Amino acid sequence: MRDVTAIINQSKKGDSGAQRRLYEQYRTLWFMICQRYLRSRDDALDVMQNALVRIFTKLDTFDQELGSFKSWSSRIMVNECIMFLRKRKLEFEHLDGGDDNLFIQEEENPIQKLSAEEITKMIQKLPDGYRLVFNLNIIEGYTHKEIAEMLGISEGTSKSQLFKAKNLLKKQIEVIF
Amino acid sequence: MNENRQDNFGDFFRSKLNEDSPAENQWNVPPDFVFENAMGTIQREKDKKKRRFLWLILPALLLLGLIGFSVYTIQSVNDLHEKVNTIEANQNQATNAQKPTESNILTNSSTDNNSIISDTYQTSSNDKSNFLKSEDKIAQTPPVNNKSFSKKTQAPFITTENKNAGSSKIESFDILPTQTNEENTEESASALHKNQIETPDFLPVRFGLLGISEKELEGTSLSNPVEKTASKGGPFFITFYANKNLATIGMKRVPQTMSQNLTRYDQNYGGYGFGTQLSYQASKRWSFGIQAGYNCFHNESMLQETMMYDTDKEQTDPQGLNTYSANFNIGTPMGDYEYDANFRLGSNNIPDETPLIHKTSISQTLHSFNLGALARYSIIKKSNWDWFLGTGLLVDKIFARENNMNTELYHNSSMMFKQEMNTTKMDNGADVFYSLMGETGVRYHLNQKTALILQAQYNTSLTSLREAQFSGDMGSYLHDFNVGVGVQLGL
Repeated sequence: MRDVTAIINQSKKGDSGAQRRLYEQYRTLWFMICQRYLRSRDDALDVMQNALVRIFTKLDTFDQELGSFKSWSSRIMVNECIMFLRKRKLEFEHLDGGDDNLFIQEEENPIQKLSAEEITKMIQKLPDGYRLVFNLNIIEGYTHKEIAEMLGISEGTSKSQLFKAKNLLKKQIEVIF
Repeated sequence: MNENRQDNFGDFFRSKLNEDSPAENQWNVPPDFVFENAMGTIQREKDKKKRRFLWLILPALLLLGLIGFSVYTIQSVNDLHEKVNTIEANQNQATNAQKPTESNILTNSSTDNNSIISDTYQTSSNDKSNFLKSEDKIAQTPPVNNKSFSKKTQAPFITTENKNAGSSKIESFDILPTQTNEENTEESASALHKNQIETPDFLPVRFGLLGISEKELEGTSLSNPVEKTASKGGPFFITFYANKNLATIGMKRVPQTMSQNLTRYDQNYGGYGFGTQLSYQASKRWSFGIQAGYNCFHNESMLQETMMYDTDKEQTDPQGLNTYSANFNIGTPMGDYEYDANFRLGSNNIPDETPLIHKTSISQTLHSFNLGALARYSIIKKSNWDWFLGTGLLVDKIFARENNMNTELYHNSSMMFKQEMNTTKMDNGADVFYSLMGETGVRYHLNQKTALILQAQYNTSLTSLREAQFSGDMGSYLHDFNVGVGVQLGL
């Protein structure tokens, strides 16, 4: 933790070596976020590059007393992804509803063997709207009310998007196993 | 139960994807160029800021230097003026003491005075005719006939009979010939006017201030007359007249203007312009000039959309509410208008749904040098006033261009996200654009040294300052109109 604080402080002063070390420390986390929100790897790289510019130019505004660097930088990555999707005319698809019976059976959990890469690829296959709400709710932990305010949709829409995202994920899991 | 199951589902994904230090594999490690490119972009932004600062400072320094030079020149001119006054006083004394003869008025003048005159003449020898006019008071002594020049010739004020003797040995002066009314009444009036107005022409510097009220007539596309603009912000214009021909050095600030329709705003934040204009009086009525300057303009288009994702079509949301929408799209020769109406049917609780305001602004800052040529013609030239018309063509060469895309999302009047995408492209949009200038003005001479000028100018860009690059781009043109009253001071 102290190391990270020192690296951040050095990076704020414009030390290019420290900036690189900071990048190497978080690049995997950041890139996984981008890949989770965006279907294409190229898009994820573009968005990550823009987000890096933002992180390093706004680094002097980061205050460690208000939160961790991880959550601050992750939030920037998520925002970049959302903005990218918005520019591509993000649409919330409304597909037929499905089975509500979605849960992971812990005693028979073959999907526990799924790797992060496989799970990410499954998420990437979701339509943009589903993927966005799923990531914001399940991974980032936003409530439906927060998501609704964030995206300008109703809470009901947010819930239905999540519901359908889970359904699609379940179908994908069934295909695998 | 269901919640627990869903939590379980979420925990699984969270645990898999939200690790603090995920293991690095080929799929989740970005290539190095991402970091390199980002750092390159940051460096370019820093360099751009430095350049922007320099481009603002340099014209200001240039302006200050010119002002300093003018003040210095004025001081020198004042010294000369004092010398001339001394000469005049001495000459008057000599005239009173000794009646002038036809052959030599100043033969008996003191040698010292002649030396001073000679020095003065040499100092302003580049403008002999001006010097001549400035010494017309001397010509008020009884005129003598002179065979050596006609009335049309602007003869040298001082002639030396013994040419080999050099200027330090002036032996005689020729006096201006008397012009009869029959010969040229108009010329006489003109000469009288020159005595009154342009006497201190050998003083090379005049300058004054021009206060301008400026308004952009239409700041958007010429092909879309629907877009109206209104002036906002305080205009600022200052011009230093550099000589009698209205050669100027000036600075102007083009004020902010705005146009809008249902969803779009086109804001022109204007910018700054520094320019200098050199004029040459080719004839009594015609003058020609060249102009060089630097301009910095900033234009911004804003596309504002109200988004309601779940009301684009009839649908039933999980609460069982039916939502309907109607979309009207009206196309007119002046543009397309779109209007969305959304309404709901149902008695259940309507979710708190406020439209999301999505604003995308595209701005561009241009830096350009311009060169131009102009011509002025005095339609009326009276003894104490003249009315002139002028026109010119400017060619602006863009040497730096900065594009910015800025997206903001508002919800319930509070900003949810703010996203800036800065892109720098040197090769998009027009590289060179042309502007046409027209002007008219009236100059009224209050006295020998002061003239009032009422001047109006209109500039229009014939080429868009920004070519369409994005869907929200308006392709801005710049038109500026200014009217101002200036004071031209002969110092």
